[in-house]
Amino acid sequence: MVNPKKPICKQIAAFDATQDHIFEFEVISDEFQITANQLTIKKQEDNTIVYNHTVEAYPFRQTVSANTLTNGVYYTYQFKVRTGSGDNIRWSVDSDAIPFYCYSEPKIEFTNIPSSKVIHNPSYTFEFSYEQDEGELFQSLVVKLYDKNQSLISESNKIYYTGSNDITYKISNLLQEVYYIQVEGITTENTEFISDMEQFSVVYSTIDLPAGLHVENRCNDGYNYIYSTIVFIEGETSPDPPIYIDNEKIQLLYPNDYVKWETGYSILQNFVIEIWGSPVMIDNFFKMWNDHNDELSVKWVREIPYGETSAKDYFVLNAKVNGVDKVLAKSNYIDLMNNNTNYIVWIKKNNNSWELLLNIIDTENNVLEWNGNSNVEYNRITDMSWVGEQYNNGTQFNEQLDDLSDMLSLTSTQLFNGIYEHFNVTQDTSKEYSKEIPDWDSNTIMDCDFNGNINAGNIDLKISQLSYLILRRRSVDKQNWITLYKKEVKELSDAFITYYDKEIPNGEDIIYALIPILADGAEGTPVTLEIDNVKWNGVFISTKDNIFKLYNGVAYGSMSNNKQIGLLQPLARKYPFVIQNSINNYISGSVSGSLYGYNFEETKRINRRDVIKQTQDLLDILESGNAICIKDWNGNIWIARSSSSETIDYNGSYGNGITTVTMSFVEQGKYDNQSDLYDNGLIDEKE
Amino acid sequence: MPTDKEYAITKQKSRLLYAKIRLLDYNFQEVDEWENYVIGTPSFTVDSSSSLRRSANLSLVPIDKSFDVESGNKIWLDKYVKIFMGIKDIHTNEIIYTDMGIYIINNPQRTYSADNNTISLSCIDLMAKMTGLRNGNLVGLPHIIYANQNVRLAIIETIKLAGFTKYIVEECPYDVPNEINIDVGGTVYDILQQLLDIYPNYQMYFDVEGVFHYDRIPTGYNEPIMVTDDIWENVLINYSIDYDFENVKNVIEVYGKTHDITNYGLALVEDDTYKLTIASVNKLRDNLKIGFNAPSKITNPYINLNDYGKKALKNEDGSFAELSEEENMYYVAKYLENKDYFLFMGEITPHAEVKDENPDSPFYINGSLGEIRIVLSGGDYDNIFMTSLAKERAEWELYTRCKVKDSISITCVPIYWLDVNWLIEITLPNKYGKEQTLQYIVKSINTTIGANGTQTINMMRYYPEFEEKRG
Repeated sequence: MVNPKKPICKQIAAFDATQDHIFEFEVISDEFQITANQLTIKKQEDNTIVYNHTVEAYPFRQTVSANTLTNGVYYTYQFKVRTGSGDNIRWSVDSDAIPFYCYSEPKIEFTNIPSSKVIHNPSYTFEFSYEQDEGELFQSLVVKLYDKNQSLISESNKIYYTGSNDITYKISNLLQEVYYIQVEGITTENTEFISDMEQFSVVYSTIDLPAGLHVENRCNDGYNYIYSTIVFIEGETSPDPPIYIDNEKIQLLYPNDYVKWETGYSILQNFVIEIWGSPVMIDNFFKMWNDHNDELSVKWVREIPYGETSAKDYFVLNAKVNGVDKVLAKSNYIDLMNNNTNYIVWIKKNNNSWELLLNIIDTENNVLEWNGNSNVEYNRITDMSWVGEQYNNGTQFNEQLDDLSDMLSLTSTQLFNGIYEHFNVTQDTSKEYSKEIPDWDSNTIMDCDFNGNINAGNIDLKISQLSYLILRRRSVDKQNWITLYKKEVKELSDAFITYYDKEIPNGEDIIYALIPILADGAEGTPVTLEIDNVKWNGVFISTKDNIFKLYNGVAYGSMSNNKQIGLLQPLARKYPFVIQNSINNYISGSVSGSLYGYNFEETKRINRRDVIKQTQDLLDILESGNAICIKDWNGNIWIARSSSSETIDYNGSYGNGITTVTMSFVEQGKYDNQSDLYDNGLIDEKE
Repeated sequence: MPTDKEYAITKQKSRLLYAKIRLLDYNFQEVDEWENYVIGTPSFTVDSSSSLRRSANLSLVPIDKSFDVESGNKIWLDKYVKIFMGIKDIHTNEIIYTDMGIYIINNPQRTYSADNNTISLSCIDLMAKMTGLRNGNLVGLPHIIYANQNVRLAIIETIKLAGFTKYIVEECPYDVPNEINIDVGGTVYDILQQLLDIYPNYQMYFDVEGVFHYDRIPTGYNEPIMVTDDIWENVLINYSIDYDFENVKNVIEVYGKTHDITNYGLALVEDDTYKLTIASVNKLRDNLKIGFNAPSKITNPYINLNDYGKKALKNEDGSFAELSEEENMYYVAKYLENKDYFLFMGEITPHAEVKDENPDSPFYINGSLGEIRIVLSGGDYDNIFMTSLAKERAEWELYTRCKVKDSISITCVPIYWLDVNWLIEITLPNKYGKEQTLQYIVKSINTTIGANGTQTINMMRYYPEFEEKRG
């Protein structure tokens, strides 16, 4: 009878000695029936045995009771096993000793989640603290973010110990939803720890971008042209701050009250102005002017219309051009307005034709009962007559059709003497009169809703409140956004961004998002725009700043999907081992095509000089080692670099005025991977 | 020992390979992790005969300036690398990583040309931090390990000098016999080497977890069989066996260092005591070494020197010394004050002879081979200061010289988790001969990673039937 083989013990992580702990071992051979095992634990410091216990049982483990060992102490453990029984007992030798530490359970907890569990920002830097009584450090940890169903959304990269047990981690792009967050980590002695799963909600006031994003799929040119029309028109008021009514209207009751816009727009041609308001005093209430002090103004007039006997109200549109007063238009008569009247005034200029409409949206006659209800307001005109009341008699109106081109380029606008609900200026003169408040569209010049602000652009922000605009793109069927462009916003012109997006395959459905980043770093709500079925008419080679279209006889060489594969052939196997180095997996191939010059697409004529310049530019780019994007109308797209010398053939049939470039390339990344695009210099944003 | 997943993935019919490197600071604190930066054909070696057991070579593609070799960056003198090789599980897509060990980065080489930009890392064993190759030079005055110190504790204190705090250090059967004095300019490793030499068939090395080991070299006896044909059938590509007749020895004679004895006397036998009178000794002091002629053997003997009182004559383990039956033998003993007995050190020149007397052994002295003798002395053998040590050493030499020579080298699809000094069992294909299932002990492993990478394993034959009889 031989001794049983020695058992095998595995490395174990540090554990808390104040808890029971199970020690295990393995016996590889099933040749022996194990009838007992003996666990010996020694203190490393002096090799003294602190635990030695035999268990007469089959299971390959022993439980050491809590507080048998001491936290902070370095130990080893060994098992040996016994076979047989009675007089036939045989013991193995001790297994190899395995070192381990006992350490108290590490703790990690979030320290700055508000007690309300509500975070008022789409970005938040979470702070958490690691603690271990005996000073064992953490090796690394990971922050995990879960949705309201506790499904994992994202997790951080490993966070390493850098000298402090107080750690921070910033999470951005939080939506207004319920989340859970948790930290998992491992100590230097391989003890895993995990925080409580903390719930929090995100609630913040969003900054809505208007539909200020536009995309043109320029399929013949090989790119999507993206531009924004974010318009900042910041106003000023007196009094400042302005007085709003229910955050829906602005109140300008007194002679020096006004709201004025003097930057961010210019009215150059024809226009339609719409004002939703309520009158205060019979007088001027609106004016626009230019740098030469030419002025348009609208005045409320009450008179007895020509040929009638009772007073009516109307508006009149006046102008002052080169110092000469003119009357451009007169509105329709309406019954007398009062402080309860809500009107819409419509001013339309179409070349030298002027139109002024006045419509009552709703009103209520004034009532003045000395001992009852009264709806008359102090200092506002009523529709009530009084003793000795007199009005002028109206005259027949003759419109002025003078050339008023000198007074265009209106750059300043002022409303006063009224209560205003909405103000809109559009250059769309085909627009029909409507009481509906319009949305901002591509023809809108100014629009102010007075909903707690006086911005007349298409963003309810001041330029100083915005720090960046970010343009992102993703495929409809994928979730990862690619940050294409980030622009710092310092002045009004910064709000207009343009971008040429070239790294998209044909047929792809794309979503673009324009995201405002506020001065405090918070993200506003993005405006998104979906472009279905992006089309490319041709084969294109592009870099970050250039694009080349290949014409006529475009040809691909054989494409190789390169992998390093080895075959190893063990003796006892019918089929070989296939070994693949996973790092290498890329396409290589070649493409050739003719260049017709930069202007061919537009002129449809070949300019030899243009062709040569375009050819040389392409060769310069390839020679520089810059990455390129090759895409075609079949949906192929490769982020690549040239892998050998290019060849240029000149077409003798065209007097050598057309070049055919042939290049070999090797794939360098994927079009929908941020790192690949950045690392290859096709975009400037790393994340 | 592999995990179940590591074991199973080794048999997978295809391999998608991954490499992962953890960057550690000198406190073994992880500071970064690189995945899939490794290119080319990394290689690993594990050699059980060397204290610098593990080494690796690999190449990286530097992707940004943090890879520039300078202070504060990823690749610098103050970093360790912990390397993992992984295989993707084709069923779960999980990458099963195997820990390939912790290394010191040594002499990185940047290759930069029109079509190349790589950093080659020569990764060496953690032991290099004690040999002086990276660190390990002792500061200031000569370093002294005093005689009679516990070897285990001396080793632990020594490795702490180099900043290593994780260890498995077994007890040595002997205390430090003589003062170890390392001169200025010596290294931590010099101390360890002298401590290692106190007792034969012990080894020191770092395991893959960076734990320092001082333990007995496994002989295979009582060891579990770590790899069987269940694996070999899947991975074995070829093998070759070297039959080295030249170095086969079945009689080993070992001579240690002859003691320089200044205190000598002729013993008189009084009952169970050797009575000695040595004029040059005026008191019993610690480490007092004496020589004496024993007229005859005494069982459970004592020594009474200059009437200072009877002191037992014992072995290192506390048992009474067993003297030779031969009369007038010259012995050496040393007084240990803390144990209050004389340590029996054997003959004046420690000497032992062992032979392969196992009739089942192919090297049996009474078999057809006869005796093939080797006499070993000088050099390392001068570290042998007791007869018992000479015998231990002789047995070890017999083990290595009589059986090691039946060694084999196999080439296989890499088994990343394989380690040296493991006992394995393999059936070597032999189409025209006899196929036997034999046991071997792994002595060295050379692994190249990559599409065509293989593993070469050198092993020595283990004869379980002989070893188990020897016990």
